[in-house]
Amino acid sequence: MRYEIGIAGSGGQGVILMGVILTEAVASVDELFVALIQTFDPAVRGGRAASTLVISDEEIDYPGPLGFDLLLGLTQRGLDENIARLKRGSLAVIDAELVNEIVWDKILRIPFTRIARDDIGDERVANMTALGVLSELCEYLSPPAVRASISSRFKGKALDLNLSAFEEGLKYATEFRGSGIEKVEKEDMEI
Amino acid sequence: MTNAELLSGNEACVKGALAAGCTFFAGYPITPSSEIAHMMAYELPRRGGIFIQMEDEIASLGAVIGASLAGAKSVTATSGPGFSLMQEHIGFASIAEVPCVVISVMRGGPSTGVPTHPSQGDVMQARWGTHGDRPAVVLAPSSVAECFGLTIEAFNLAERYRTPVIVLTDEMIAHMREKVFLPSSDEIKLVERLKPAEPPEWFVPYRDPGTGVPPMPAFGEGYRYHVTGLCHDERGYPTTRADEVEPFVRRLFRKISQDFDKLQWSETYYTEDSTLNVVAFGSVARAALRAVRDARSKGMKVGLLKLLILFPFVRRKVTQLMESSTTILVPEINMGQISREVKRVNQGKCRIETLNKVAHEPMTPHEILEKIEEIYG
Repeated sequence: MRYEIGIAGSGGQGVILMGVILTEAVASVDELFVALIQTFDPAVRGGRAASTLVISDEEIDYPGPLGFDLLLGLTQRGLDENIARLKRGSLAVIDAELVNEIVWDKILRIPFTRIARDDIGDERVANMTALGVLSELCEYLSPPAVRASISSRFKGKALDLNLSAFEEGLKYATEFRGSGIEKVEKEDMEI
Repeated sequence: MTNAELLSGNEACVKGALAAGCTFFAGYPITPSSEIAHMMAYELPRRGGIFIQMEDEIASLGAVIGASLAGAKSVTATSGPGFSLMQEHIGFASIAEVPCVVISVMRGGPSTGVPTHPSQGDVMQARWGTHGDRPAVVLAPSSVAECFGLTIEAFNLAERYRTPVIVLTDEMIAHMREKVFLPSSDEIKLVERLKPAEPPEWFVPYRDPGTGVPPMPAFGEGYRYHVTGLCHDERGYPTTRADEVEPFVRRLFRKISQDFDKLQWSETYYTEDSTLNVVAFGSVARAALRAVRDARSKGMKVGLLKLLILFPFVRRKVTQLMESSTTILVPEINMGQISREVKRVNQGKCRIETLNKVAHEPMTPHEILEKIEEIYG
């Protein structure tokens, strides 16, 4: 078994942190191996940033991406540069506000940035909302493990803020699961 | 699986250094090695060790050499541009025979190049970067676990041979996080430098005890001696006498070359029946292993030799592999540095193919597999 998650965005969105949190959550499962590769441009904000997770039940030979089973696009550029690596039939999750153009047959559009800004009150935690969605969508991620990983990184108000964004994401994904992703796909088919 | 940990390559280097008993770090932060300095600054003071951020890389290695002369196992970490500055003192540590470890995380070059992307462009710098003729010891981890293990071994080799040892990683390995299972401290074998058995007044600091490695007291223990970058006699004083210089320089080589047999550190995969063999190291070895597995699943008889030590070059292992190979493929993310070593030992035994990439991006299994298919025909 080899399962790959790609997260692509730009510097400042918390893409690297998302990778680290998910990797920690997977590493806490005894029988799973995990490797995380982070790529980023030298610019702290605005440059490219991506995290690639490889999850396996055996020792990982190549830790880099061979084909994503799940891709999260947080910017148009990030999505464009990585969509070719998404395996046929796999799901692309995109930020509905930041990514406008996508040619793919299985898409989940969620306005992470808007949710974080309007519902949580801080745009910076959009990445935590996205983590909530990923934790629900990927079978190798358990929401309690991801929650624990987030909790170990923040304290006080920051923790509350990040956790509430995470829970909001979880809720969203659960609702989508309930409504059936199939339905969402059809509506989202566009060229 | 209680000892499972999630670490980056840089963090594993720090853990390895601490497990080896390192108590001193002096350095100047540089991407992609900065996390090593960062973590050392946190870990060393709380263990009674010393961390110093120096004014530059020249001074950094100078401080490391000084600390080692005072008895501390010492390390520094840098990347390409800083590694260039350290070359001066790598030569000094070689001639003064001061054990120390330099961790160099390769990034795209030359000059400031591409700071946040991997490369293998500093292999020959690690071998020949300092001036003068001297043996080099260079280790090359290809995983987070190997960053830990080989950093410990780097200290062991430095202590055993009284020589600087270089741990050459790359940005991909350094920043990559992997779940690893580290050995407990009682499973780790450590080597300590030999101390003189005689009293200070009888002490002759650079006399060859037969092993090629003179015992080394720490400054402050009562033994007085002179440390210099000039060629020196047994007492440590500068000399130009041919009958003293010649055996001295030869001893620097002999202390390591006499152990070539023990230093063939490498791993083979699927080489029992392979005729096309890949020789790779560092992050490229990871892609190569995957490519070899993919080629095997397509019925091609392909194997892999992964180098864990680059210098002294694992001549015996490579020669042995050549006996059963028709072709050797050397993929590298440089224009061909280790492939030169492979060609040097080849002597017409087989065909050597190279695969080079200088986009300062990781080599992918797909690229290696394509080349394998092209060779295989």
